[in-house]
Amino acid sequence: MAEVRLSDQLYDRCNQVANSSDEGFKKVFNQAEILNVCDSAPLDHVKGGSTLLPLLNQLTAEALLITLKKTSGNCWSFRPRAAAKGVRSLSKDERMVYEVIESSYERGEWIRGIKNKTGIKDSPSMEKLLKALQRAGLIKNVKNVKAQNQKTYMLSYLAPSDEITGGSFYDAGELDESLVEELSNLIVFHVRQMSWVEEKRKRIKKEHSPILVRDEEDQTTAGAADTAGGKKRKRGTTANNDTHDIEDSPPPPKQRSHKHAPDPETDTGPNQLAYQAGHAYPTAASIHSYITSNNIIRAVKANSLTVDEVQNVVNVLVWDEKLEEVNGGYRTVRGVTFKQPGEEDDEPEEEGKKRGNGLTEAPCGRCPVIDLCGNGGLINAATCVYFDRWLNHGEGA
Amino acid sequence: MATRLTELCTILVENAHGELAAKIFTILAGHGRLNLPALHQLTRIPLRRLKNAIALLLQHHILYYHASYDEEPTYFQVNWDAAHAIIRTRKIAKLIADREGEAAGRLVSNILQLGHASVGDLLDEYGLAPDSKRDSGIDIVDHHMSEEDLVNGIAKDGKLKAVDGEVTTTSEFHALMRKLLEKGFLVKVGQRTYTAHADLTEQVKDIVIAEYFPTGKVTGPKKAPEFKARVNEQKRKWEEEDAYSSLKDDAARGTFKKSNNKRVKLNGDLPNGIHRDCAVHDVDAEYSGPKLPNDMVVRVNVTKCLLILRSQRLERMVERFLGPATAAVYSALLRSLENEGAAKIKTERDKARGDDDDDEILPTASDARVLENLDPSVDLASTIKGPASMHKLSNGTGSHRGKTHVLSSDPNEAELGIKREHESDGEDEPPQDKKSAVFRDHTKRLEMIAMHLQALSEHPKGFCVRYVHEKTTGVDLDTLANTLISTELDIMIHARFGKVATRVVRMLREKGKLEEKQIASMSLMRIKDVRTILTELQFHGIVDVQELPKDSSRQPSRTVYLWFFDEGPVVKRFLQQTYQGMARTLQRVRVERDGKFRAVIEKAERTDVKGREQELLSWQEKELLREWREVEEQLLVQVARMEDVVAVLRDFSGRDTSLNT
Repeated sequence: MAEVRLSDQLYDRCNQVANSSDEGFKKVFNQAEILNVCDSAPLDHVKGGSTLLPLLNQLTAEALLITLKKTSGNCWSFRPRAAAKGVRSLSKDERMVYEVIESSYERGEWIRGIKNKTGIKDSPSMEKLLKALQRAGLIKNVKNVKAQNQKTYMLSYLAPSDEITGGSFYDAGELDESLVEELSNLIVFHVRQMSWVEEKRKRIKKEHSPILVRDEEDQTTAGAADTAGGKKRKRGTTANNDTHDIEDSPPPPKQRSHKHAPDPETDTGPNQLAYQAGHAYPTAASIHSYITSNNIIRAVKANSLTVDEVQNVVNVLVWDEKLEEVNGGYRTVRGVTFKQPGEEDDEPEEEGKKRGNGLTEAPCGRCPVIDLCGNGGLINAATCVYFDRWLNHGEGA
Repeated sequence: MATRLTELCTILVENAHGELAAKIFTILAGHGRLNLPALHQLTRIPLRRLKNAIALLLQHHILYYHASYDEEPTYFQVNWDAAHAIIRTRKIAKLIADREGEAAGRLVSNILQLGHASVGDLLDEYGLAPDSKRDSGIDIVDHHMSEEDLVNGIAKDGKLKAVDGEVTTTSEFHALMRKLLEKGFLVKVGQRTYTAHADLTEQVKDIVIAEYFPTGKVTGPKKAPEFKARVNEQKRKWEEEDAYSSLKDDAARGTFKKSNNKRVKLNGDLPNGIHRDCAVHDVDAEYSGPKLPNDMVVRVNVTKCLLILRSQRLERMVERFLGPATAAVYSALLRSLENEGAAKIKTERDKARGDDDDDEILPTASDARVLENLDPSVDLASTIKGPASMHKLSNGTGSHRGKTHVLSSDPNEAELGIKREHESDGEDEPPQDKKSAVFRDHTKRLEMIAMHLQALSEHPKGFCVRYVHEKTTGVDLDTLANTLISTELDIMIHARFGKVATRVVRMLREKGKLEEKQIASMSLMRIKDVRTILTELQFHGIVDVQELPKDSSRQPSRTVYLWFFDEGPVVKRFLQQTYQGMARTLQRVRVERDGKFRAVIEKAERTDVKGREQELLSWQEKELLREWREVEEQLLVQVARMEDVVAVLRDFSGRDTSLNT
C-alpha cells in the first residue's frame, strides 16, 4: 500500500502548509502549489499532472479533498480527517447539503440558501437531511444576531464568525450591555486622560464678591463663581446686574445669566486645560491597543476585540456627546467625566429628563395633551393641572 | 397662517396696547389684507376709535399699510415680526444696556415703548429741547426712571448712582444717538418702513418698468436677467437712501453750540466709565460733532439685536466646549465681525435677491482686530496647556495697566513652575522698560489669541476657519446658525425622550436613512429597544419611516423600512409648540391674577394704598402679594426662556419664512 502512504503524505504536507497560512484549512491549493509541496522524498517523483492525479483521485475518493473550479483551472482544498470520515458515509443528497454548508465556512448558510443551492425545495425532506447531518455531528445550528429567526447551519468544528455572533459585544446572540457600558466608561477615562491636562482648581470662598474674584483670580474661577451663583439663580435676569459695581468691573465678557441651569456634568471636577491646537489625540486604533494591551478586560475578549468594534463604541460616545473628533483623533467633551468602577449610574433617566431648555422645562413642553389644549376647550390655561403642579412645586416638578 | 402664532401675538398686542388693538390685530391676522370700511365692518368698532387704534399700531409698526397712487382705498395688514418683537422689549433693552451702557439701554427702552420717535420728541422727553427752560434735566430723568420701573417691573437698583449713565446734555444725547445709529441698533424710519415687503417689491418693479422698459416686456432670455439686475439695483438704492449715514443725516453743520461745555466736564467721565471697549468710538466729553436733525424719526433695529443674541448663544456654546477664555476670544471675534455686511442674518429674501458680492466669502477678521475687541481682563492663558502656567498678561489697554505686568517672558522658566518675584510697582524700572514690556505683552497676547482661534477652528462644530498665513479668521455664521438649531433640538429631544433617543437622532442625522438593524448594531443596542425608541419618536413626529417594497406585492415582509430624521418639520413642530407654550403661560398669568390674588392686587393698586403698602396691608395680604409676585415672575421668566428657543429655531438662521409678509 505504498500509494496510500504517498497520498497520506501529500495530505499531511498540504495540511501543514494550510495551517501555517492565514486562511487555515480554508486555503485553496492550485496545481503548482501542490507540486511545490512535493519537493522531497517520498514525493519527489511527483513532478506533473500525470503523477499527481492518482494521488488526488484517491484523496477525493476518501472525501479528504474538495475539488473546486476556477477559471484558471481546478484547485483543491482539504477537509479534516474527522469530518471526512463522516462524509464518506453520507447519502448523495446529504452530501450535497453538506457541501453547500461547507462552502460557506464560518458564515454559515441560511436554510433557504441551502434549499436554493441544492435544488431540494421540499421543506420536510430538507429538515430530514439536516437532522441526519446534525445527528452525525457534522453540522450545527447557529443563531444569527442580525436575523434571529433565520435558521442558519454551519460545520460543527467551526466557530461562527463575528458576522453571525455579532462580535465581541454579543454573548450567545445577546448583546452584552454591561460590557459595552464598561468599555465606554473605560474609553472615556482613557481619552480624557490623554486629551486634557488636569489642574487642581483653586478653592473659591463663597463670600468673595465677583469683583474680588475677577481682580485676583484668573478668569476661570470667576466663571466658576458665576456658575455657582447661577445654580441658585431664581429671579431670572434681574439678579445679575446689581451684584457688582459698574465702575470697577470691565464690561461682562459673556452673558451672565445662563438661561439653562448649569450642567452638573460639566461643572464639577478640576480645571481642564486644553492642549494647544495641533495636538494628536487618541484614535480608535490607539484606544484599541490601550484596551487590549493593558489587561483591562478578559483576555479572551481582548483577543477578539477589533479596532472596528472600538470605533463603533467611540462613534456611540460621539453621538452621546461624550467625545468629539479633533484632528482625526478623539477628545472628551469638556467636563465629561468617567464613572468610578462600581459606582452607581449617577445619571438616571429621570435626572436627564429634567434638563433642557425653556420649552421642555415649561409644563407645555412636556404636555401629553398639547394638541387638545385651546381656548374654550376642555383643556386650557385655566384648567391645566400641569401648571398647578409646576407652580406649586417649582421647576423640577 | 398658524393659529398658534396668532394667538400668541394677540396676547402680546393686548398686553402692550390694549384690547382694542388686539381685536384689530386678530381680525387682520385672520383675514389678511383689509381696508378701513371692511375692518370697520368686521371689528364693529366705532370708526373714530378704530382710526386711533390703527394709528397706534402703525406707530409701533405692528401694521403695514399700502396706499396706492390711484383712488383705491388704503389697505392694512399685519407685520408679524413686529408683533412678535413686543416680547423682546426687555431683552433688547438689557442687551443694549450691557453693551453700550445704561444710558443707551434706557434710551432704547424708551424708543421701544414709543414704537418710533423723532429726535426732537426724544429731546423733549429728556428735557433737553432748546425751548424747554430747564437746563439740569436731572429731575426729569429721575422721574422718568421711576415711570419706567413701573412699566417694566424692574426693581429699582439701589446701588446704581442716579447720575451714572444718564444723559444730561444735548451733546451727550446726540453723541449717544449717533453711536447707536452707526452701530445699527437704531435705524431711520422712512416712508417705506410702513410698507410690506411684497408691496415694496411691486413698487420697485413698477418703477423699473416705467424707467427702463418702456415696452413693458420683462421676460425672455435677455430681458429677464436685465430686469432682475435693475430691480436689485433699485432696491439697493432705496436701502442706501434709508440707511443712516453720518454725511447725509446731520443737521446743518456748525450750528451746535458748545455752551454746555463747562458742565459736561464736571461729570464728563461718568458715562464713559462703563465701557472701556477701545473699538467703540467713545462719547467724549468734548464731543462737538454735528447734531441730528430734530425731525429724524428712529426706531430700534430688532434684527441687529438678534445678531448679538446669536453671538451670545454661540459664545455660550464655545464656553461649554472649550472653556471661558476661548469663549471670550470668540466673543471678541464675533464682535469684530458684527458690522460686516456678510455677518448679518441672511433671510431668504436676501438670498432670493442674489447679491453676488458677498457670496462664498466668509466674513473675516484679523487677530489684531480681535485683540482690540477683547476684554483686557481676560486671562487668556488660563485654559490652554503650556502658557497656562505663565503669569497673566494684560494687553496694557485696560484697567489693569500698571497693576499687573509681565513677570516672565521666558516660557521655560514659567513651565518649570518657577515663579519670579513680583517686582514692586515700577520702582526701579526705567520708563523705557515699561514701554517694551507693554509691547511684549501685546505680542504675547496676540500669539495667545492665535492659539485660541486655532483651537476653535479645530473643533468639530466648525466655530471658525483659520487662515494661518494671513493671520485672519473667518466664521461661517450660516452653518453655525444651523448648528445652533440642531443643538437646540438635541437638547429638547434629550429632555423629552432621554439619552438613547438623542443618540439615535444624532446617528440618523449623520448617516441619513437607516434600517432598524443597522441602527441597532451601530448604536450597540438591542433591536427590541431600538424599535421601541423609534416608534416613540415617530409617534411624536421626530423621526419618520420610508417604506421601500422589494417587489410589486408590497407585503410588509418584503419591504425595507428606512428610518430618517428630517430637521425641517421637527423644527416647525417644536416652534409651534413653543408658541403655544408661550401663549398658555401668558394666559396663565391672567388666570392666576384673576384667581385668589385678585382682591389683594386690586387693593395694592388703589391710589390711596399705593406707596403706603407697609402700613395699609395686613401681613396676610403682604404674604399673598409676595406669593403673587413669585408666581408672576416664574411664569414670565419661563416665557422669556421659551422666547430664546423661538429665536434659535426661527430667527438666527434667517431660513424661516413663516413671518414674512
